[in-house]
Amino acid sequence: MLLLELPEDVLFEIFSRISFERLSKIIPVCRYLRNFIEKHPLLASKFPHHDGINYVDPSLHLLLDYGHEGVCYPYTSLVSNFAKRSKVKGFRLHNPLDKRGSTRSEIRTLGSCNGLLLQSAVGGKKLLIWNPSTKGHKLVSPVEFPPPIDPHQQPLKCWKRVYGLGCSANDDQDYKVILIKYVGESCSSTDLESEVGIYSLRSGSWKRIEGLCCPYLLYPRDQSIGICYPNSWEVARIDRICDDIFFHGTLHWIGFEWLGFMYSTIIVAFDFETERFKEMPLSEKYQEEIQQDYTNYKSLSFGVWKGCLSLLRNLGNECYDIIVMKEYGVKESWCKLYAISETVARNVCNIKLVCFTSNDKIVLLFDYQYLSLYDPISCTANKLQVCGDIPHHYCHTTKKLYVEPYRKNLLMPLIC
Amino acid sequence: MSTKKITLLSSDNELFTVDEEAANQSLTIKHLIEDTEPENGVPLPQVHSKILAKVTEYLIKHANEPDNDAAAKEELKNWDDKFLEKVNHETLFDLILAANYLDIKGLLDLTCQTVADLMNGMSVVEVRKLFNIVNDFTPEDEAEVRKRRKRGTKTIGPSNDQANQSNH
Repeated sequence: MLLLELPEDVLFEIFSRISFERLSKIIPVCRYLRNFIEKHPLLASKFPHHDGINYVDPSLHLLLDYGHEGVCYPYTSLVSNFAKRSKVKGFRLHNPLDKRGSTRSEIRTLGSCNGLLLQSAVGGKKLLIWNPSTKGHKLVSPVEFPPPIDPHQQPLKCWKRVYGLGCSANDDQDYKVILIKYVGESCSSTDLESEVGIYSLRSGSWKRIEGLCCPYLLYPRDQSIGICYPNSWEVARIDRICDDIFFHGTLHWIGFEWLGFMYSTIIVAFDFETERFKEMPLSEKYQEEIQQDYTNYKSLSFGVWKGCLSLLRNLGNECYDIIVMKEYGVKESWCKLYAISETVARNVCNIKLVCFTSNDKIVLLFDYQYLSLYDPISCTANKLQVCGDIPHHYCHTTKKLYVEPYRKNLLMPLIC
Repeated sequence: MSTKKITLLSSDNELFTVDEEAANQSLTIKHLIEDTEPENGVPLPQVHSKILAKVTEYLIKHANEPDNDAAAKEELKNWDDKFLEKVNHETLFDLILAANYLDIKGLLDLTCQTVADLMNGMSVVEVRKLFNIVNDFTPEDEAEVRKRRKRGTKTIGPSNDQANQSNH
């Protein structure tokens, strides 16, 4: 019998099919099995009273997406148990379609919500919604909206698609994919034209929301931004990847609004209940601060701090702070939480907020290359080294890394 | 429509011939024949003929999976059950390794589920016996695991834990 000689991903395949109660009974079989089950990020926190010393926040994992931007080596990895160590172990996350070492098809994470991931699959021809914890998945065909009824009218060309994953807040907990299809004359026109469609996991179909257009410019996650000014050749390049977050039944993006002479950076929100876009305003002072300089768009990224939407802002050069909206939707309730020490931000072009840990530390992503654990009390940052089954060349690549917090969802009914 | 045949070469140099459609269920084989088509069969040095015979049997049966035919699905499920019924545990593990190496999702799911089902109804001692695992825990380790399990099932909060510890 060779149970213990099976590769780790096969062992996981087997154990993920065994119930929690049963797994906890199997733990005392031998040391190897105990270590494997207890240290695996997707198996370990099945146990409610796990008291491993280093598990400060056992339900929090990081989803690492290597090779964003362009077609390169797709690699998604889960990291857990990082709160007290400087070295953390990553596990390769196998997409249910593209398994075991196949690097042929491109995987890109397009969105995540409540432990579910939205990824592009089959070379970008399909969308995959799946739950890494239960392994339930659903393959979705991208939508094509019907052409205009008037035969003389040419269908508008699509120049950008932005996807997002969300969930309706009412009792039925239906997961939904939103697609914003920008059509027409690229962004050289001052009027943004777009078509918006919603896919419901429950009904298994797309619907177009008639009359709804997204008046803001949004970017897909895997694109760094080049903003083209309407009617001019000037391009402001922003070397960063757009951020989005699902929070309070609403999907939030960092977006841009054309004010007639410049783009204004704003928080765009899509409410899955009302199926409408809205602007999530910052208080005037904070809004002004991120917009002082018309040519240099400031980096912004989202997080959730103690149940409040928070924002890491770059205020120019090496100056960063974190603000929170104490009461959701109330413009005046934004207040400052922490300033990031300039010593930490020195020689760094970009800092992205990843998440807050339960012991009041902050996980930050520096220059889309490496992770750091920042302590706002002592104002120090410790680099987090990711090891485990991540191939060496991924960790030392110049390609960008996209990181977001991931919390398992075991309650989610198995989708298939 | 003529179907193209693919020849597979096992580790002990036995040849197996299957339709391309059947072979393509294995992503490893699919990728191998995409690049170059080996003249003397696709070499699979990690799979013995005894196992490859079983694997090809599975591939041929699953080559045309019914989409909406409930009766045909039921028939295939029954066939799957029978397929692994007479297999001994050693072969079962070899099949898992082969399915993993050849990247055949259906077969990997089927074999892993079979092992999971086996383990589901077993006690620790039975699991050790079945898989020939030596118990390498010290008595202290075992006491700790037992303690933790007790706590986990009774869901006692941290304050109670402290009370328990101070009693010792």
